[in-house]
Amino acid sequence: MNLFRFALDNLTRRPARTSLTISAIALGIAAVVALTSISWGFEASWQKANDARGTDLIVTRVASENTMPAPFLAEKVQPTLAQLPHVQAVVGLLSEMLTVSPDAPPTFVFGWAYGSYLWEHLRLVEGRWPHDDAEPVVVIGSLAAEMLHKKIGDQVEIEGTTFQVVGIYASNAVVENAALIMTLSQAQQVTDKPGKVNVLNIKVDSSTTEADLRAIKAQVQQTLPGFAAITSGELVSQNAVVRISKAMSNATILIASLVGALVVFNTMLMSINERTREIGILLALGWQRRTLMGLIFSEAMLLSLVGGAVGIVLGVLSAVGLEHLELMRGKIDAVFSVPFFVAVLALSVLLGILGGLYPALKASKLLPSAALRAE
Amino acid sequence: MTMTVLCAPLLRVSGLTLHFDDGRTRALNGVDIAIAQGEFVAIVGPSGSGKSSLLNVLGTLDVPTSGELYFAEQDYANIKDFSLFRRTNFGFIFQGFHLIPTLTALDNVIVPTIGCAGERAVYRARAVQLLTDLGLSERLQHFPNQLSGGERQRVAIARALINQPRVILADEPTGSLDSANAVQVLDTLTNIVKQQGLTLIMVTHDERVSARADRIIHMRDGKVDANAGAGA
Amino acid sequence: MMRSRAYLFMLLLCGWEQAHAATPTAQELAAMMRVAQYSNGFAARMSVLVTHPNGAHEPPFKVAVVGQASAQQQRLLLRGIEPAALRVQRYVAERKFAGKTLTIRARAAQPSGNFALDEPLFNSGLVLGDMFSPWWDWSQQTLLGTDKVKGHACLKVRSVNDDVHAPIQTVESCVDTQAQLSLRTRWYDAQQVLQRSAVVGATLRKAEGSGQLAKQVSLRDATGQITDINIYAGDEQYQITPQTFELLEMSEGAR
Repeated sequence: MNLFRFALDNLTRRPARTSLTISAIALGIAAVVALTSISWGFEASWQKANDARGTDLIVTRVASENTMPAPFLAEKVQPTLAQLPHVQAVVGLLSEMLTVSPDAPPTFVFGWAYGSYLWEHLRLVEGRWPHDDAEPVVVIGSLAAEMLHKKIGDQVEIEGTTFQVVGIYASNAVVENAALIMTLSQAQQVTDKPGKVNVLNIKVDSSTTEADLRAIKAQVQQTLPGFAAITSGELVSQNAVVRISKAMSNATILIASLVGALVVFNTMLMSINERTREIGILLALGWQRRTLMGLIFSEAMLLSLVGGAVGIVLGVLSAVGLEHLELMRGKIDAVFSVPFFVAVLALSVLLGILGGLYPALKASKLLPSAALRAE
Repeated sequence: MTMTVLCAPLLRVSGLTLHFDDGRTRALNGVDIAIAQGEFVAIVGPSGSGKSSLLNVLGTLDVPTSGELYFAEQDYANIKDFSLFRRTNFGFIFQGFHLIPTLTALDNVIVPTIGCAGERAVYRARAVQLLTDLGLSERLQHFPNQLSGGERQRVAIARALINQPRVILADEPTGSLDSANAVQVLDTLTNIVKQQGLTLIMVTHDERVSARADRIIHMRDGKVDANAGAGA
Repeated sequence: MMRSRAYLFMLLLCGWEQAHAATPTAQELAAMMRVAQYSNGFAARMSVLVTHPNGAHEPPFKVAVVGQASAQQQRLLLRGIEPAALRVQRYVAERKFAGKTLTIRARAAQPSGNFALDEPLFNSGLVLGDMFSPWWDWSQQTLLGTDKVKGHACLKVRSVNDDVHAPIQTVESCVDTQAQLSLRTRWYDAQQVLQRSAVVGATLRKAEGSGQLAKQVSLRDATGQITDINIYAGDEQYQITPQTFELLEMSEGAR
């Protein structure tokens, strides 16, 4: 038998207390995992939407720190962009977040240039696409259809104008699945922004290199003052909603970590307190204080490692579970990664060590006779 | 059976006091004793007379308020690492056994060697040998709650011996046992101590136990009661 | 209106830091607020929720405000968006300065041809005349010190109407000078009785230039009716067309 086995036995032979401790740590870690993956997924979903569309660069008005980039007249910018080297297509997009039903939260309404490449990545589940640019119809994402309780042939009132639902589509991006799409000219009309877009999507040809993309970005900056060409990732990281959600998730991670640390700390402290006499015995048997601290550390490490692993599983399960909850449908698209799990596990162990530090120091300072007298 | 002169005492204390609560409780009130190598000393006296306190201070489990202590002419005041000192010189046996409930009999015996240099297998073999010598060869993998009182105390004896100490400090080792078991445990303990030439210092209430000792130290009110000793 | 131009220049010349560091005079503040309104065209769409003093809500509705403002002319269009029945309601008003003369025109497409600028519209607390913020043109402006609205520091200004017969005689604003936005506005009659008030709940940074725009405003009238306005979409560079304010040009008979 060695120190590690001793620590392991201490935990496995007290299954009730150990499993309680592990559950407490696991809950803290699960909160960190679920909340972080959801908020990262939110960010990634925006990027997915742009990537799925086949958009390489996005041109918007600069200094748009607001939720939506400010609208601008497409015709003032589009011809210049179309002439840049490697540019295959420049397509306008207008988006707004609007209430389309009194009992549903605001929904994304997109206007996409009719016949553009943007439509190509969508999969038609039911119905048809708009016949032409001027047809007052919408196609709706599969999740939006569920949330708004709409089917083919139903009508939706958008900004006082009635549109017929003619198609239901599916996309890889949750943002799009929860949205309504109409042609750009219809969107411009209904939002009273004739000729305007808030994003121009640029698709480049296959021979374009990273350096070419950088050159295009630089050229946009030079020739179109007040506009910027950015990649979809950059757009997402500048988005106010994404930034708020990121700040909130950071706050949550901090709180969950603090709660987790407190749980580990409290558990270790309780465990040491209720085993004071055992510590007295070990000291009487001639244990060095550092051996005793080693034992307590080993226990804290084991608890937090197992608790962390269980917490990761719980966190993933709850994030995936939330994704499938009726209330949350279409709003969540959690992302996970191995490095993230490793980091969370490391966080858990770090908390375990920190939590074990004080009780270990406290225990090692006990006078053996006093510890033996404890009940 | 009183020894009169101790030429080279193993343990020697003088003017030993131990106070608690800022001096309101005086557990030891000036104790002077000397104990020789290989001696079996019984410490007797009424409850609260300071028997256990004396044992704790001798075994460095407690720090005396004042007084001088020497072990093989080494001043306790000069000891830097009490853990090491305790581990190499003393083996403890308690009334309540004080075994670790989550460990088997064998592992309980090995516990004091954790953190010691050397092959783990050697310690393990020694623990098995000790338990076998104590008649527990069938009980190695049993947990304390699966053992009888007598068996538990024999495990505790094996644990006290694992680091090959020079002194065994036993605090009422038979106090929790019925008389048959008490006799058996006492026989075992005294035999081993005699065989290995160890010093045994035992706190006891039991006159049958103290009767076997080489010497009896009577305690009263935190002091050695010299008159009672003379009378015995 | 040359004066306000001069103030704009002054603000630009001094640089923001300097202009901001020293407390502006009441006249400077009024000029700054006039200039802050200037726009070649803007549109804002808002959802409106009316709450009666007894706590009952009207169904929410949406309206749009389109406007244009310069030193010479201010024009506003207020139109219904949703529900569809509201789309026929349109109100247009103009304030035009020619030298020192101010002419005001107001026309409505529904329900009648004329309406008063200080009349509440859409059965809510929306008052088109207030959207012009005419009190920044009044000659009497007095600083009343600093205050706080929802934790934001602001400068209190009292504007006194030059027209002694007008129903609103005094307006008290609390201006966040950095945001160039009045966070709270209170309208009083000749007896100094509070007629209505507006408090800004949330703001939005302007897409261009400095300053902020109101995103949420809560209006309260003398009866205690509350109108909560949430601006959910906007265009700070709205394309004004000849058709935008054509209602103004229509004669009574032609409509």
